[in-house]
Amino acid sequence: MKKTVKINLGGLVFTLDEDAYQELKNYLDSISSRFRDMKEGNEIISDIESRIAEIFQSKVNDKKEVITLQDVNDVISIMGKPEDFYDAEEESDSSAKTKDYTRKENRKLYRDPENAIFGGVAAGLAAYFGIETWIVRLLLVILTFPIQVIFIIYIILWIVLPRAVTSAQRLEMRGEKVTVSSIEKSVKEEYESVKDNVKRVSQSKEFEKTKNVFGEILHVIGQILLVFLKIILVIIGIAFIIAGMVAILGIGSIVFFRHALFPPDIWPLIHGIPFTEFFHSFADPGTFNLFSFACFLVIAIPIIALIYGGIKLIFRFKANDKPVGLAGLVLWLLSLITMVTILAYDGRGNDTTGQNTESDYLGPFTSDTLMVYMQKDPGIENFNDDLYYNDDEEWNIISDADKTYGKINIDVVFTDDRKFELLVRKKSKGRSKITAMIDAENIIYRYSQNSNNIYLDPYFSLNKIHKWRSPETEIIIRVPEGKHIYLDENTRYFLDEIDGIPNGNGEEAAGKVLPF
Amino acid sequence: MNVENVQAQMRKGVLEYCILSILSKNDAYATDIINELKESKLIVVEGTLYPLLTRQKNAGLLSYRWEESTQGPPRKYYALTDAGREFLKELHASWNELLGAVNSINTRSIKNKS
Repeated sequence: MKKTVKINLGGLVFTLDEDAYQELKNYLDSISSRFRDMKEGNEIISDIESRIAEIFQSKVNDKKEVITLQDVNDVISIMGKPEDFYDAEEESDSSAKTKDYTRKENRKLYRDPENAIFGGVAAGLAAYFGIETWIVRLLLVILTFPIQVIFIIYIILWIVLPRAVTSAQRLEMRGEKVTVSSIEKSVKEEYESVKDNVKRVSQSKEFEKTKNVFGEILHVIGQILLVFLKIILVIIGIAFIIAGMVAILGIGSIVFFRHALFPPDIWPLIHGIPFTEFFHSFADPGTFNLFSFACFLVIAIPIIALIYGGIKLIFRFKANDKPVGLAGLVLWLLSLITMVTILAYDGRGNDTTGQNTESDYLGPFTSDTLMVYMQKDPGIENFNDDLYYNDDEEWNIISDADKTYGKINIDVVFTDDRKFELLVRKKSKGRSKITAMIDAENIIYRYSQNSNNIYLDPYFSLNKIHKWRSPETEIIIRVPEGKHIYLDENTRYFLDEIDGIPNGNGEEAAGKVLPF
Repeated sequence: MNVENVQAQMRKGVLEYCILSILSKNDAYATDIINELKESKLIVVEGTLYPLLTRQKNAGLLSYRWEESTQGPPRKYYALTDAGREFLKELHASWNELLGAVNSINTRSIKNKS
């Protein structure tokens, strides 16, 4: 079974096999490209077409209605190929005109459904380059591991490339000659056509001295510029692809190898806050993930577009890529809007401070002196007790898999009351007092008491499912009149406001017994 | 430089002359002219003729009329115009000159050889 095509040739209707149609079309294209630019070109072409119609007419009868490839080949051998025409006005340049018409590398990129495993993209590429399909597949698979974006490109090509369904498309997909250097060839063809045009100008000087020489020269200059433009486009295309790949590799290595190359604790700090905690400070983790995803798309879509554009500039294939491009653009804009919205909305999350105070009377003990120590081992994964010996901002916030920890402050104040009292004052910021208070309530803080010894955890913690909005925790110890408090040396860098010690010099109280 | 090239050049030179000459006998349509030229082995492929006919027509040497055909599309019948006849006359003269010149050179070189 063969598909047929109906054509109108010289005013008569013929039915052609599809391969015959393709052959005839190529032939007529080659004729038309030979004569198109001459002023009597159209007439010559239509004369030739009516002659072909005449020959076809003699080939069909009641029993044979369809023109076959054989018939078309007969016609071509009767009429001759354009390079076989000789023409008195065209001097001896017929040798330069040996632009062979046989399917002149009009190879197009298609998907090949007949040899497909998934979409036939690899098979189509193989046909385009004239190499074995398995080589392309192997390359794709091997290269996809280091350059994941190839996978995305594959999907895009799958979507935009037309399937080679008809035999004509299959012919186009393969082309006839198997040369890998099809790019070079198309550029060469371009160059040849310029050369022809230059020749034509020199001829037109001889034959038509009077007019249009200037116009023709302009035309030729235009053609030369066009070739340069095309070469430049190919170079730009290659540059696009390389740039895109480098960008992907760069981003990829940051994302994937970040922890290998830069362990989290030396990852650059923003105002003393590790990178991810910085994001946490204005977004809850769900929003954070959305933000990261939007961020990824905002960066990735242009890169993918860049690579795709590069491929398209080089291969110059026709593809139905408008819907995909449009979808990409919309997605990109949406991502951008999402990013901006998150920044604008959550950035305002820090307007109001809300606080939540839990107060505790300490259990009875015999001594008049309360001993305050920092918990030596608070059981936090990334904990480092250097914290007790130097005042490095780096330790203000640490985190593990599911919690973020913030350093506490200790205040010691006088109270009229008769008992020692310990207040845990949790603060957070929020858009409103209430949300801030709710956020503050999510802060977890522990301490322990053993007789007259108090062990304070150095950090409060906040589960990562909650927003990190500049939370703080103050431990306020209230000391009654006549009692004493001992602040261990290891509390030094936590001490803030201490009654009896000038403001801002709280650290001096460490390692001393203070009377009240 | 090879033989085919030179032969092609020679044929090319006389082709236009021959077309006019054929048409001086009878009005004809492209296929008639082609058949005659093919018989004399002046052309190999038909495509060569169409550009020549069109140019000669545009140069005012030929005119044409449409005639219906029983088999196929209507045909263009070409005829010589007066200008064409003048042109042919000149070509006839040059051809005879050329023929004479070539012959005399040939015979002279044969004489020289013998």
